Amino acid sequence: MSTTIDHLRGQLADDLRTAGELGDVEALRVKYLGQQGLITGVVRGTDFSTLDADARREVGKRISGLKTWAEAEIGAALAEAEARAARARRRGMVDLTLPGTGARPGSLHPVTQTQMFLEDVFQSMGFRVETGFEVEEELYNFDALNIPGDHPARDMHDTFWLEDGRLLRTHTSATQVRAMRMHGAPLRAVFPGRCFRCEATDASHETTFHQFEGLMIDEDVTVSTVLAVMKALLEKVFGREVTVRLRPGYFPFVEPGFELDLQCLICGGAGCKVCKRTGWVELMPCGMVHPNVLRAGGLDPERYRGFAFGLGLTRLAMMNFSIPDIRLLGTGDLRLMDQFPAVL
Amino acid sequence: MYISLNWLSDWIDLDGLSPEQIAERLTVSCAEVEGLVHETRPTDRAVAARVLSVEPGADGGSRLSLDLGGGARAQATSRGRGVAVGDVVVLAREGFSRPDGAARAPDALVSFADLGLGEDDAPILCPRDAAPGTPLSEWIPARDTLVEIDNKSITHRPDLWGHHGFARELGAILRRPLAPLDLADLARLGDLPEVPLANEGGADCEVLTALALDVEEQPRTPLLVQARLARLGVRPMGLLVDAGNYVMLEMGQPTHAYDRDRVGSLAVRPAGALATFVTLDGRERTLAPEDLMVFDGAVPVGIAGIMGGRDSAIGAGTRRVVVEAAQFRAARVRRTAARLGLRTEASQRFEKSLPPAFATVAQARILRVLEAWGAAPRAASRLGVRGEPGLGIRRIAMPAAEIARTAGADIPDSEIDRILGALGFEVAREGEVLEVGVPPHRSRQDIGLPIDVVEEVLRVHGYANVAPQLPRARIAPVDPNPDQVRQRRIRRLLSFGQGWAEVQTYLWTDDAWLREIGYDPQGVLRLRNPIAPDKGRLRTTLVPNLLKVAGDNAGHHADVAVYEIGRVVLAGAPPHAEVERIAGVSLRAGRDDGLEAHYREVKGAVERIVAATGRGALRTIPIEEPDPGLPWQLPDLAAELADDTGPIGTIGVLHGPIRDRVAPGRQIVWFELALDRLTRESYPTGRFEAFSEYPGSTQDFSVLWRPERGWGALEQVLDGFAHPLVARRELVQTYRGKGLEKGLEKGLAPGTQSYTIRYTLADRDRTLDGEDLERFRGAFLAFLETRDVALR
Repeated sequence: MSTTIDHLRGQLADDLRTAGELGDVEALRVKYLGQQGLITGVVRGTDFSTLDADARREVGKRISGLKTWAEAEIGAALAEAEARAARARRRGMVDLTLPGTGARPGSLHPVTQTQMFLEDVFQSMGFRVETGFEVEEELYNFDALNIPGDHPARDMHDTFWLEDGRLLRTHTSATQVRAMRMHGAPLRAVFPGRCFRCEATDASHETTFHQFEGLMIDEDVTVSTVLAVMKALLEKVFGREVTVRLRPGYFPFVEPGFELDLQCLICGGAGCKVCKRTGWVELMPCGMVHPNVLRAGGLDPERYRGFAFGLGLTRLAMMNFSIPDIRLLGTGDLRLMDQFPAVL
Repeated sequence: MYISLNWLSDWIDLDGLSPEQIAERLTVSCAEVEGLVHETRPTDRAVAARVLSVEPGADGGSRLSLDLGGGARAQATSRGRGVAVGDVVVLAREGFSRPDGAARAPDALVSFADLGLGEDDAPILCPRDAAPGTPLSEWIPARDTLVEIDNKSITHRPDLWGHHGFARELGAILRRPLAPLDLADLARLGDLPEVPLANEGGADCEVLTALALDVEEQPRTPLLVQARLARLGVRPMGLLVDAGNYVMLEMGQPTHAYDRDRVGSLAVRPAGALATFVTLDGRERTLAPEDLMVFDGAVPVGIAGIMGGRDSAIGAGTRRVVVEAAQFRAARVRRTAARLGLRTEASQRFEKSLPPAFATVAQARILRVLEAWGAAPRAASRLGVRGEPGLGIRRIAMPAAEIARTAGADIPDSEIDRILGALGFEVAREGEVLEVGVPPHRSRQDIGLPIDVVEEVLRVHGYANVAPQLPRARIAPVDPNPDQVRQRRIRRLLSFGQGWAEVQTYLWTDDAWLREIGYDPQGVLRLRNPIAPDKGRLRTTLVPNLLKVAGDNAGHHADVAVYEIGRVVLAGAPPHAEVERIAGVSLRAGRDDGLEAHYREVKGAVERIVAATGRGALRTIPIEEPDPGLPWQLPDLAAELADDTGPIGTIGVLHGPIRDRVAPGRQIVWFELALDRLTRESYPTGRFEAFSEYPGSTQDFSVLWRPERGWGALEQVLDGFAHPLVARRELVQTYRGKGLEKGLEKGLAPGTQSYTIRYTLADRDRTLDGEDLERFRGAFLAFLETRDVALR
């Protein structure tokens, strides 16, 4: 008796191992557990009357154990086969690795991308954005900025003059006095925009280029403010801690005037090719707003002080995107633009 | 400009400092150092040798027998015959080689060219009393470092266009004593007559000075002086000329010496009718009437501040000179020099607005160096001065606290006084007031206001000694810039959402391109000095430049969608107004039957722009009679765009010849919007309307309509139909079969296309039933019949 039960157990285990499809497992259920099934057959084929009470109990228990085991094994195999079948139905329904569709990304001009980034940094520190005019009056571009009539910049060869006596602004500083007159003090503002110089073009010179000027005027603005504010702003721009220094520089609309140097980010100040072994990279001119400029802006230089700085926006964009020739920026050539997808 | 550290040592002790340290200190406190040039010259490998005999040699040269001192003799050759017995020449010794590595005959006499100092290859002649065997380095140091100063950083500092100015700066920066320039006492010449002198230059000549000097003979210029001049690119020309050039490199003031046997008087005045003048270099120069000239009576002898004349130049035999030193106006000199293309050592110094006092100082210094160089000069006049000599001290009174207030840091009074004193300023204190005396060597343009004095103190004190300090917080909202907000929305939509590329084009147009597309704008603002003659007109629209960009890209891109946000300067009544525009051009490969779909995609982009930045819905009004002056606006293919505020721009499609000029065979759609006409508030607002809880229904109708009448006109017809159940009406699609002419396909009538309109119907209070829909359908069909519109 026990031999038959052990045999059936082994036979079912073997059958289950080879049954892959759902139908195969179902057939095994019928074969073993159906009304005509092998396990039922064991019950049927056993003459209980020949057994004493103990033996009957023992045989009944063993057959019942076999049945419970067989139901569990076949049930598990059925579930497995069903899961496999469902998986097979989903497979290939969607190729998840195909590329996305819809409008391909367009592009933003490299200068625009740089400008927007800078605007965000400065606006986060309370600077307003003013774009001023490209066609500007001599007053705002020169006179109000303490640039006398004799200054070389006013000669024909640097400035585009218009037939109506105005000019194309040669620097975004032209917006300084306009902003002072418009908003008064205290004032924090940046002036991004296009500037124009009448000069021969080459890989690093263009008639048309962008600057990003900044101005901060308040009662307590000092040289130490310049150092602290520029350091804070530049750390946002470069996304890391920076060391800056000021040294003398000359621009008629600031006094004292500075060149702001950044400790070389490549070598950390030890000296390398990029910084010409000085440890410092010249980044931007700046300075304390000249009292004559404050006066031209309608502000009292006894009460208010300010500082101004100018970033070469086009130059920064060229550095950011490794663009070797400034003239490429004015061509609208999509082979350039396609390389700089819009990120907003 | 180059500054020689050896030369600086005439006035300041630089011992114990490396050139690198000196450069660093100059950069952070005075002027930008661009680099250092460490130089060695083999002057310690050459010795003085007395010529004992001279024999004619081969090729017109000489064979020399030389005394090298200490009983040593040597033979040498000389290429010329200019060496005489008794001269002290220089002979190269073991280890001598030219700095440039060029070969030289081993027994040849040493020349300045052999030392890498200029091109003079004549033998160097030492003082006649020089002891044979003395190394040449006794006169010309074997080592020097040149500091290269960035000229841009000293455009406002005429006093730094000479060595003594830098010595003074280093004295202040390094806290080391400075020796003054040694000057002759000109006051003692007071009894002598003046050189006839006239300053008729007006504002162009602030001061004119003249001093007549005689010498018995012109001794040779000292070797050290010749070496210094040659190294800085000034060719030694004989003692009298060298003295002027040397003083210029010392203190920054150019002078000019005239031969007094040919020039008896000096007068400065504009060239006037004088048309041409031959300069020292033998070239004839064409003058403008306003060019400032130096005359002797009616005879021109020099272009003021730029170059003297050929005919009054002094030579080796000159014994009697008149030295002119003046202060010519910077802009005058710069403009004349620029026009003549003649920028000289002199003119670039005058361009920096020299202090007038320099003229007098230079005269005194020239007299002193001539004395020191053994020329035994004799003044033949007193110093003649016409104009303001500018020798006085200028006074600036300022609050003493001004310096700390600008710095944001305290600087001790003693440090302030020390710095100003070392720079030559006088300092006195009276209570809170600082009285500063500005020395004559600092130009008025540079030092005129208290803030200029502040800068002097701060830079020498060192900006590194000012601690960074963020300002006290002030909370004040900053107005957003509406232009910026608008532009960013548009850029997001077009570049990020629609795949357009942003480009930038010039503010001016290119006439050659305009001719090609048949555009000739009138009344536009023009540049007086354009970069090229055909690039002088400022743009009044962005479209033409953008069409050019699109066409240029057609060579390497099948589809192009570019836009520009930029300024245009509108023609019309002056002043020409500058306004901001956006324009776009979309260019695609494809047949005409896809053109409408292409146009609708571009239009969709414009609609999104208007939805984001304009007010209300976009309307399209076909332009019946386009301005023939705007060739991209073609009849039947251009329309005006408007929102609820009125016109905001234009849109259209190119066809025919202009299309083929831009990009043959492509579909081209363009649009242009005036950004200042898009006036949506930046703050997001709207009004919620309750929606029905009951399901609605849709009804589609396809009607026949002539496309040339336009969807806009059909919409106006449909606007006449009102029904309480209508929640929304939209155009689903259009269909024109294989072509309008063929027509009669799938229910189309000739010349018409099918417009499918979808009505969404809903009631707020109940679900619609079949009867509702039937009644709506009946009402709408009856309405169409009254308007003579047929269903497909």
